[in-house]
Amino acid sequence: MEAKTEEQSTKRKKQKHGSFWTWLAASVLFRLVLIYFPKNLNLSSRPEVSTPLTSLRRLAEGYWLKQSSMSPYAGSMYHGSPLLLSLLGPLTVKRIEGQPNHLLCSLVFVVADILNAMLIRATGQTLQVAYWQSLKSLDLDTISESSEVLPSGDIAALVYLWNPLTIVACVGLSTSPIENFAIILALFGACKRLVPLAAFGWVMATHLSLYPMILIIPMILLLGYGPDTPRKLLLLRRYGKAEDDTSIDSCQQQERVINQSELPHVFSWRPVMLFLLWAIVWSAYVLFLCGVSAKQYGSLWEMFERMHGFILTVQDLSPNIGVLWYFFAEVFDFFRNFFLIVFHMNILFMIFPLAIRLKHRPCFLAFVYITISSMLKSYPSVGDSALYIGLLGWFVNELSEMRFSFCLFSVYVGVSLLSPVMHNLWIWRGTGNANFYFATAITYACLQIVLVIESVSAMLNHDRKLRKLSNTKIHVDKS
Amino acid sequence: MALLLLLRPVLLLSLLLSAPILHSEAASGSVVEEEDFSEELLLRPLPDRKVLAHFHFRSRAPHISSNGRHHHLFPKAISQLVKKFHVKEMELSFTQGRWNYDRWGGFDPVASDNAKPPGVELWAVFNVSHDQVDDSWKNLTHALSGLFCASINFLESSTTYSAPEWGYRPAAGSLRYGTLPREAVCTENLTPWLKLLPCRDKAGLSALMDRPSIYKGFYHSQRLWLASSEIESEGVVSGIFLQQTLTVVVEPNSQRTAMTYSHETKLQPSWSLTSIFGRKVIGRCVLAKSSTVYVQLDRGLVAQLDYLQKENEITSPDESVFELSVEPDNVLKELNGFEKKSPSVLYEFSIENYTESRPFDLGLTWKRPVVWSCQKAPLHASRFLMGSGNERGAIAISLRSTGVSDWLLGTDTSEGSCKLEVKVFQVVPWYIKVYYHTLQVFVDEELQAVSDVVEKMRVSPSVDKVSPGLMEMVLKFPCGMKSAAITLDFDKGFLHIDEYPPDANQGFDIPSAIISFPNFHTSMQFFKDESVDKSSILSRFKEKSTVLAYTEVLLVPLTTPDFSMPYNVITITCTACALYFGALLNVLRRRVGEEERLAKGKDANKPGRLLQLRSRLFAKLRGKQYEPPQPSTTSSSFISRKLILFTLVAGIGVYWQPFKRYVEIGRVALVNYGEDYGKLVVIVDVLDQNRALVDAPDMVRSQMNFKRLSLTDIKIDIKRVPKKKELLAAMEAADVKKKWENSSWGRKLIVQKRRAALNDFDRFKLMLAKIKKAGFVRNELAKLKKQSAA
Amino acid sequence: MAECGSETATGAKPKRKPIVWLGIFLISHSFLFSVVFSAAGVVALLLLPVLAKNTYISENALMPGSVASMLSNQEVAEANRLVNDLTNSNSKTLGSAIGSQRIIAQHMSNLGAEVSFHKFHPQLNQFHPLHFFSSPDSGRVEQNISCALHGVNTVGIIRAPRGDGKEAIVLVTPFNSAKVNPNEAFSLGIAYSVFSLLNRVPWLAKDVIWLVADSQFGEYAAVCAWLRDYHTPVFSGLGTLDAEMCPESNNLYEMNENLSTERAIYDGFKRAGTMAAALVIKVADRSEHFEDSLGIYAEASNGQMPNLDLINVVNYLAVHRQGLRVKVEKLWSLLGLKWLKTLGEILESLGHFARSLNPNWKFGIPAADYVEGSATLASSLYNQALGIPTGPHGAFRDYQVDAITLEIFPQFSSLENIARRNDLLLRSARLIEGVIRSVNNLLEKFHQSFFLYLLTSPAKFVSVGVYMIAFALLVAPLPLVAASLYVNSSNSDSSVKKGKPASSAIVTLESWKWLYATKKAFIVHLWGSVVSLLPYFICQIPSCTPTTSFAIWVSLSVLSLVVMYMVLASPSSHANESQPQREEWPILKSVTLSAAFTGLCLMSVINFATAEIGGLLMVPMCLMAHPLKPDVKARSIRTLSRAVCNLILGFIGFPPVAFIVLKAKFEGSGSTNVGDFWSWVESLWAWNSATYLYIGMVHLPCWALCIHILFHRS
Repeated sequence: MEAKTEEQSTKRKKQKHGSFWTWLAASVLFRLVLIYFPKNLNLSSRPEVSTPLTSLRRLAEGYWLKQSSMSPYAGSMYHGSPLLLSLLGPLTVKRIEGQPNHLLCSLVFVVADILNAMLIRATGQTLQVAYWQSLKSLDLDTISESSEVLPSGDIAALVYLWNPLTIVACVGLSTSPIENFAIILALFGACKRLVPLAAFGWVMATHLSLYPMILIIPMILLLGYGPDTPRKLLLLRRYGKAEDDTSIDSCQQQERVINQSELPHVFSWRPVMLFLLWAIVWSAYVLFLCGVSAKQYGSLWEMFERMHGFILTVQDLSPNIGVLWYFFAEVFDFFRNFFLIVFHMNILFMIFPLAIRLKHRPCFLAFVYITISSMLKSYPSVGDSALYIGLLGWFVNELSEMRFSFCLFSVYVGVSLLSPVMHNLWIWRGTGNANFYFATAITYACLQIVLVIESVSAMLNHDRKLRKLSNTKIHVDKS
Repeated sequence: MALLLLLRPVLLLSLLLSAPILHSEAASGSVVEEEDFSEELLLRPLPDRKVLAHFHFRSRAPHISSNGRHHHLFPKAISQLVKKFHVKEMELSFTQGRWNYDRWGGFDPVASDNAKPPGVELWAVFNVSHDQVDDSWKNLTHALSGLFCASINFLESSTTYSAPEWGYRPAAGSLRYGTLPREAVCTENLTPWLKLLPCRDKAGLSALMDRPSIYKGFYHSQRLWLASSEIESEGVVSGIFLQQTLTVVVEPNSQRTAMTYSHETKLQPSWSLTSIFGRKVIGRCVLAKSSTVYVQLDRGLVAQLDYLQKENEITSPDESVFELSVEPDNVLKELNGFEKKSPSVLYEFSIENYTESRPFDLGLTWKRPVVWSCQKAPLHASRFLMGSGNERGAIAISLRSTGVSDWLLGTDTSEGSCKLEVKVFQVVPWYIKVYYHTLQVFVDEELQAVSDVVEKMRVSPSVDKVSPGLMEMVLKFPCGMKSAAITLDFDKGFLHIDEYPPDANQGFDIPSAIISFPNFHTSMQFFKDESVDKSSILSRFKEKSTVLAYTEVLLVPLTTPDFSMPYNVITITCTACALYFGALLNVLRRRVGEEERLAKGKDANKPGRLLQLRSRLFAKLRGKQYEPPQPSTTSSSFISRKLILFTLVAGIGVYWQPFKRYVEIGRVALVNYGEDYGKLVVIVDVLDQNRALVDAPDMVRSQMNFKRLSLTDIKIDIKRVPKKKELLAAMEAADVKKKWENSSWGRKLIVQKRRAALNDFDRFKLMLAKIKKAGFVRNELAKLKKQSAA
Repeated sequence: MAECGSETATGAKPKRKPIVWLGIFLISHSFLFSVVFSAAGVVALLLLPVLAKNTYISENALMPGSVASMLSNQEVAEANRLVNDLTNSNSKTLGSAIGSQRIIAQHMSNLGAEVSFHKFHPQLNQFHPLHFFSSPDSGRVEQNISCALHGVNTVGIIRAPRGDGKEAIVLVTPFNSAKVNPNEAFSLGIAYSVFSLLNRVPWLAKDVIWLVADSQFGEYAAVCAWLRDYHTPVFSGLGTLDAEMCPESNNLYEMNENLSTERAIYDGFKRAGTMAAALVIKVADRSEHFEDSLGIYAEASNGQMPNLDLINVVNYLAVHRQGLRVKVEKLWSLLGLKWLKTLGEILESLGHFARSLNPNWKFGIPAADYVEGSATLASSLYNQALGIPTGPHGAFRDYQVDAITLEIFPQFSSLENIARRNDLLLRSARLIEGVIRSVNNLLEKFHQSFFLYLLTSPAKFVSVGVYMIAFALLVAPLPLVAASLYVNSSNSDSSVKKGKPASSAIVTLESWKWLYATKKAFIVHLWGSVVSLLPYFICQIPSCTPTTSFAIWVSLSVLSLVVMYMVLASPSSHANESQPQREEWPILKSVTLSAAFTGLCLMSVINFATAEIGGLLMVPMCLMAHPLKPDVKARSIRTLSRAVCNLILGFIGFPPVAFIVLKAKFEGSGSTNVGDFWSWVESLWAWNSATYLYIGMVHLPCWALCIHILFHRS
């Protein structure tokens, strides 16, 4: 199915946007059909879909506890946010006879998915415009006409919509579409320079699932430098000249550079400050809301303990597509804390190197961060993978020369088919053991690693190539 | 505040319900100044060819604070327990086998008091402030496990016990309840229990308890109940009431010659004390105030007998259905049976005047076949697991009407006004993660809205690794109901590798739920007047105790991780991390300039064919233009990083080794108990998980459990199972003895041995020597002081 | 995925020389390696009977045969009484469907067991192909129930006197209450004698359930229905339904009335804890000539096997204690094969040779044993590959209960002779008692021994670690060849692109051009799934013979293929005009190969045997696939032979053909028409076998792709 999606997406380029809408409608229809599908597969209970954080069943339990005048965090069932509880909780108890249970919730998720797709599309289009301008500014547009530029926005949106992982996460009643929505909202706001929106998205994302907190760096960069541009290349060219002095009369180069760099590349602090301000405001607001909904049963502290504490100290050892559950089920207790620190550090360590190297491409940076965190987070689910695969679509032009795309794709297909089978072998048949499932999990982790590395190196290569082209161009029109 | 609102009625209820119990206690104990003790035995033929024997001992003592003298009848251990932990009321029961509610009855005092879940059940009410209850509970469990040689101390951890509000007993806050379904009950538990009796099992009724015949039975439950009241509240006399009961269900003659395969009903087996217990009663326990034996015919049997009598009027009036070998001293008829026509009948035998010369051997011989059925609880409860697989499941409690309720509740079953009230009390361990919102109630095979049926409900959900889940609820069913079912979904938890027991693949237990019927009480009154005092068991019968039934214990298989994997998992996962970390850094720090420069360098010195091939195919792989490969210099850093991580992991592996002394061939060990205690032996072979073949110069080679061996640091090199003299040679070579005596441990032991060898006179000498030594020291010290002063 | 493994290796850590080198080496010499590997795979498969190990009991807690059997002639006498009652009742009363049940219930309750009746409605064959992934209980539909389809199981439960009733052992005796035939009565007798013994033994720690399965709708259906109600009862609906619309079900209860004087028989469903193991006892009506023997059937759905320990215990007790000859199924047609015998002799001589070199090497087995072993191996491969349980025990495996069927083949005319018969009854009852006793000893559930194994004889097995090697070798070439094809094709592109300045394009999509091939493959797989869903609709059509429905199936699937190309593939097809080099077949082949590889690996996890057999069919076909036109054009021996091989393989690879060929091979060439194939497939999906899915969604699409490659215009 992924083949189809990507294929569709690459086909987009020579068709009008009308077909985009048809495909969107088709995807919605498909989801609805799946929702009415006889619950043969009971997706909602699959470990790939519903982690302790995202499962709707636990949310329903939390809501029930709340209704019976207890703290929803009493007992270790619910670990989500109280806002989500008050948003989705009432829907979980509503039953329409003749309809499948949780119909309303799944409708909410479908809507969230569509919104996600739309936002991704809009962001992608802005990115593309920026890309085009950057080509112009490097006066490479003439060259770029030779090979077509793909409409990355539509591609990304369709990839997101038609990605089986997304569909499973949406139909399988996990709250990850909503978390994804918050993240995408943040990025969208940052790209469109709607500071309050961006701040809101970021605060909500951080509140719902701790990890998007690290997105603050790309967002600041995004607000500071504007969306992804190889604008830095203008300066890079100067350095490039400096570093290979094989070329002749660099003086002309110099002044060319000077008079070309009239569009100044500076870090604009104002939106950033605004963003921080708004972030504070929004977080205060969210805390206030949580406090309001929390005060009748518990304290804010309990909430933090149960939400973020639960994420940081991996307490629930039920299997998921990550590797940490088995690791912490097996590791000796007195090393537990050490390894907790190690694994969370692994996310943080790479933040700054990446930020330094990719600071001219904030959106791509955000994508890399999201991938890394969804690879190393405590309770990963397919919803996270769906998100970053969708975002990958933004960069079809830049990443067109990514290596091992075929291999990555086939391993994705293989793993996503193999892991349910292994799970079945272990849990339902009892003939396999946990190692089988863990093997697929580790393969999946390696796969994501390769994806990150390949995409980053491809992006760097792309920039390098642009630089080369611009250099040669200079040479050409100089002589 | 909602909670408080919910609590207030609970408290009221608790007061109301607790009143009759205490009151009856008071009634049973008219002013006790003297400690007293009474022993009784109740025998009852059961419908399915079995016999119920119910020993009942009661001892009372005035409250300790009143007078500090030591007890002569009352067990001191118990009174200390009460005094130390402020136990208000407590019940401990060891049970083996299941009480069969269908065939042995569920609606009489014996069943409601003595039918217990398999294993150990303990509950206690303390009168301390609510924050100290847990501590005193923990202390109590420890004390009891010491007292009864059982692993009751497992109830200490907060994951095993729970604090019911009203579901089990009306004692909000200060009640704790815990069960150990897997505890094996054996004679080690019975002996200390008997020790609490004034004349252990030497004389009196307790002399009947010969272990084999008791443990051969189908059901065996030994129970200890005590209540202490300090405050002189209305009519309640202060004191401690200790009540020990042993309930046994045995099949009189195990050989089944009487078994016929025709449809006609068959003769019940005749029995006597000797045929059941293999012993006779020789005299009473002299310390007992009263010692009596009862034979009870329950209501069903009496009704059947009356019926037979009637038709005997026609046929043969003379012969009776059964006859007792001993003439009863007294025949009591129940007064308040709710069907007046057939009250239960008691034959009373006082064994005051039986001696060795004239032992008491009661026998019951059936003359004519009679078939009856015991009185059942209004609903028959059974609980089972639903679903399969190790991910999720459901607990289902199915209640089936036994047809008792409607005539108990009288006529008004027809209109819906009449309600049958059922109280469900369920404790679930934390690794069974119950979704309480999935509670479903089916009445007569139709799904009901929970709010219609569930009167009130209290849930304290389980917290991982901290506390079990607890559910108490009151359901109201229509009386005419045939069957009902309650289901709860749950997810199975995944435990850490250390949390699994050694037999991880057996599965985990869900302790049995308690189904009680608040508006049904068992009470049999055999006396008009209040002179119940002469028999404690009858006074016990008289109390209004609610009818309750325990459901089955459930076995939940959980998935197990691979216990042999830790190192592999750690290394693999860390490798993945290293891969990510190293490779990503690697990509990031790759500079542009380097490549061209290296490309130049490459052209300068011609690469080998293989290299070319490789790089070309590189290019192919990337599906892009030929580009000379990146420098391999950076790989070193990456490799080194990996190396560091591996070493780290390996270091962990090495460091983690918990001890340096292994069980291995040639390991020298010290025998730490049993015969040849304190002897140095050498392990010459390891037989299995827990036994080794050990040998020493001065002993015959024999196998020994590892528990008995404490390993030393010394190891001699011998091959597996050497000859004796090879061993001796090896020991000589390694001169084990010298090493041992030089090791600190060895020296300590030697000194200990010497100390132990001293007789009184030596000790006296030692004391003198010490004194002398001290004197010398003092003198020397004084001298030195002087010198320093001067 | 070896290919991606190596490639990811190169990608993730581009400087790890050895791995890269190895990967590239393998890829560059893919042809050689593919030949070597696949040959090695076949050889390893042939060697399996030699590599089989002797079984051993790895769970120490079951100590089979450590105690003397307590079962005496008294029980045998009782059992005989039951058997006589049954046979008499059958002879005299007409509507004895209930009568015989009543007699059994009567006997059970006389023993003091708890007896209950379980009414069930056998589920019609439903089509839920994805049943495999879901839990066994899900996907049950409440079809409207007619009283005509209505069976009654009799269940007797013995509560362990001192046990806490957490676990249970199940005895199953299929019994057709409509017509009692002596063999079933005899099997009932065996079970009854054991039951009556267990009712008074003191050592019982687990409850014992005796299920007399009403086999008038098939044994499996009855057991399956009982298990379903045991594990996932439906609290709403059914019972009331029965009460009003099934009159004859009520006379059970009036019987209860007259029994209730003795001991109540509950209409309710009685349970006893978690099941530890289950034994199905049958007595074959065809009799052995030489001696009494015992057949063991273990294959459950999707080739799942019970824990090996259970089989070991039965085998040990039967052989060493009761002197019964134990046998497992074998493929008789293999015994006569010449080449197999010669191969066996070769191996034997090899073994001798090796032993002469070094006495410690002992891998040679006698040729006869080799042939026997391979025949047994083949049959167990075949049974597992079908994914259809070989008996009622299959139902238990879905609930993670280890179960086997014991079929007793009485010696010729031993059922007539009373003494012989009693002797046989005694021995088999003692066997059952021994097994129950050792399971009763078990503290944990079966987990020590193997779950994944193949039997080459009752006492020899091949574990997963061994037979996986053969499979791995067999499929290893697929990723290799796929990688090499992919690399070569992209290489050729780059070489083509050498011409124009490489730097011109900013956005070049070379590395994504596999998408078109992938799309094609995807469409074909989609078609495969559609095809495998078609029977669901076809079987709704009333009254059509297998042949016609097969014809309908084929035509519909072809139609659907055409339609799908119209709908989905058309845009890309005119996209292909724009870039002709996207139409090249190596990429398509590499995609096909990787698809086949994924499918095979997946299947090998689900059901090894299917994957093995499928691999044998598919691997050569996929590897050889090459367009015919160039081959025919360049008329050299090599190319022509390749073309011929391709044609043959393509022909064989088509599932119906393969089926018919194999059928003719083994069952002997009788009347083999395509209708058989339809009925075979029908049986597959009726049993929710994953093999069906495999054929539909892996084998067929890959075959189609191969054909597409063969007739590729290039």
